[in-house]
Amino acid sequence: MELNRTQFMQTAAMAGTMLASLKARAVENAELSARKNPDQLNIALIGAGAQGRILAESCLRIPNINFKAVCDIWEYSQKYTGNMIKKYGHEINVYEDYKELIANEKDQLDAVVVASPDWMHAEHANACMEAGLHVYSEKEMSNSLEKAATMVHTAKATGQLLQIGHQRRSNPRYIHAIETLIHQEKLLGTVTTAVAQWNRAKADDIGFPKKYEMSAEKLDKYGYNSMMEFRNWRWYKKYGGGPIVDLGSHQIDLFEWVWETNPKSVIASGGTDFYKHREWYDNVMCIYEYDTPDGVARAFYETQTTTGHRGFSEAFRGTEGTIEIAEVPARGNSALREAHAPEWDTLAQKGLLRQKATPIKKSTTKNVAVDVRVTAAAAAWPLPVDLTKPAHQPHLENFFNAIRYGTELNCPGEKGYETAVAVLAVNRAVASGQRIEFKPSDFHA
Amino acid sequence: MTPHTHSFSHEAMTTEFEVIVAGQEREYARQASAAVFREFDRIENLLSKYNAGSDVGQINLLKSGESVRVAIETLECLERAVWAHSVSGGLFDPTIGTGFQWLEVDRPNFSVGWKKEGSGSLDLGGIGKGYAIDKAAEVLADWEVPEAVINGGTSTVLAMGKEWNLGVGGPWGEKVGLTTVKLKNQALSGSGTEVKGEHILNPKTGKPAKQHLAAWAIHSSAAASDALSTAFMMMEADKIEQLCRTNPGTVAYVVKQDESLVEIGV
Repeated sequence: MELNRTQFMQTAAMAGTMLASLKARAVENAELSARKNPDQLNIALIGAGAQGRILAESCLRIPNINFKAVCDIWEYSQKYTGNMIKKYGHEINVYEDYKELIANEKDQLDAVVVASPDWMHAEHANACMEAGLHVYSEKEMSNSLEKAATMVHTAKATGQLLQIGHQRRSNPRYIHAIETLIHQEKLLGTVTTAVAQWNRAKADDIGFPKKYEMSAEKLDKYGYNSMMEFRNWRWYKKYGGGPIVDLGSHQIDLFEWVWETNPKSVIASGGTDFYKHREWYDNVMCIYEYDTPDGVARAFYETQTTTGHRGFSEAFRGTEGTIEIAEVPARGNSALREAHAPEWDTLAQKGLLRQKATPIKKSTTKNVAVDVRVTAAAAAWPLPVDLTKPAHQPHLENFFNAIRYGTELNCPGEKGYETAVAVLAVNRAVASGQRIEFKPSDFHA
Repeated sequence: MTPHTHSFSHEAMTTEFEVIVAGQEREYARQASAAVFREFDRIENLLSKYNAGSDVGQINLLKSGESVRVAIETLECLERAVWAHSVSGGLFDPTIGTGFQWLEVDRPNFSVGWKKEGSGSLDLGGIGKGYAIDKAAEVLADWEVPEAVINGGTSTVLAMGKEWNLGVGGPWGEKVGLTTVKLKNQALSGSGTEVKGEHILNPKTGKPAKQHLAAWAIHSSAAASDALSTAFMMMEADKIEQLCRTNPGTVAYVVKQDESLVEIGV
């Protein structure tokens, strides 16, 4: 449609009015959410170990996010992450007890990032929300569904924002693959199956520097049986959910995103077969079933901790093609077209796929009518979107934009709970040897 | 190797790192080494040019006049690279001739970018492993493991806490009689033509470095020794001498084209 100048000016003016009203609404939301100063968000970190530091490093790259406090029960982590934050010029108070942090700091804080061991997420997040603070909580919400549900309830009761750390939900590569290519363009036709895995090479227990050993009294005060359990909490039922939760949760979360429905059942097998002293299963394989408008779809997931074979990636497989993707693009970043599928060149011209010049070549063999060889592998079409930031940064930005401008959260507590229901069921399925059937109501906290 | 050392290895930064620990129980040495390896992985995630989300990946996607906030470690590594560029008369170049003059390392704002006039691309392959080794030494200090050797793919070695007798290796070392070096709280880095052929590019000419057949640098910082050994390959002997004089503690061994060994600052 050609617009004349008057029409163009009218359209532009209308767009301008709409933009102004959107801005006004955003400012209103911002004032509601960021009750202190939406331009300068003050935050604290609870749980300052390896994951807390990764999140802190991403926060420090986002403009106008100010750390005011850091909490960890372990002095080593207080220094490990706290000193790094101080190097950026943030004046922080360091706490051992999160209750003191909340009591002393809540009046100047907008939000708290929670990266403590899984079993403490609910206690930490609930206390923060009850103190009027928004919360970004690492996944898994909890190793217990009951505790995970309390987080959803507290968010609802207090009106605070609760973002769960399934960071792929904010990753532009995944958004492009799932929302644009799979949902909008129907690139894969009917997505009938998915496979995903996260395999890690054999690894012994993590230790600790001798001078930072916590006393038995202090460990007991915070609920840990020993330094080794504290350092390797992911392997113990009291504190964590095991590899299926640590590794699988991020990827199993994607199945729901792709099929836009929660699973109807899961079967699983696994065991404590290699690391005899650990409590959680060191290997798990499971199959989920999903009822989709196109029929039943199935997803296979495995996590191994004794072999790094093929690392981590996800594949969504449909009647017309497959998307292979991984958080690290080198491990998966392409669409594969089935030979019978409609051409994809138009999508490439629109910039939705990257054209890779690997056309099937005609045989150059002389004097042979038909050259019988193994069918060439489908040509890979690289995805055209890059994540040009650390992996967690867009998800944190989404959280801070929700506080500032009322942007919708990409993984609110309700969504995180749905994934927790699906993932934690795998451990029950392994323990019982039974198929677990889900009712839709199971996914509501 | 004496029986009282324990060694562990790990792949990162497209090379194999090794940690040799003395004077510790094996299990504690393993745990400390594992912490070092996690640090290597962390630094690789910041400095890898193959990852668009790493600091270096992000810097390489910036246009002229743009900048991005980066990790303290990326700033520190770049500051050492800028130092090495300066003392080597530009022969160590973290942009490999693509635009060092436009690089801006802005410590007060924790950002790195390119000036308005132009942009280039970073490749910290000549210093990143050495820098990671320096960071690893800090991890071992936390673990109170004073006596250790950290070895980055045999090209850069840091000897800590006591005098370690390190093999220099490589055909040129053997040929000129430089087979072992004793080091304490120093790093040795070697660059030569024997491992990968002529793999060091002169940033000024874009051609393989040809000044010498092999070069080694010793410095208290592994990052510095890593960068300097690359630069020494291309620097004339009198320039190396000047560098060692103005930077006390720097030692150079150079195998010249006539296969003679020159020792500077020893």
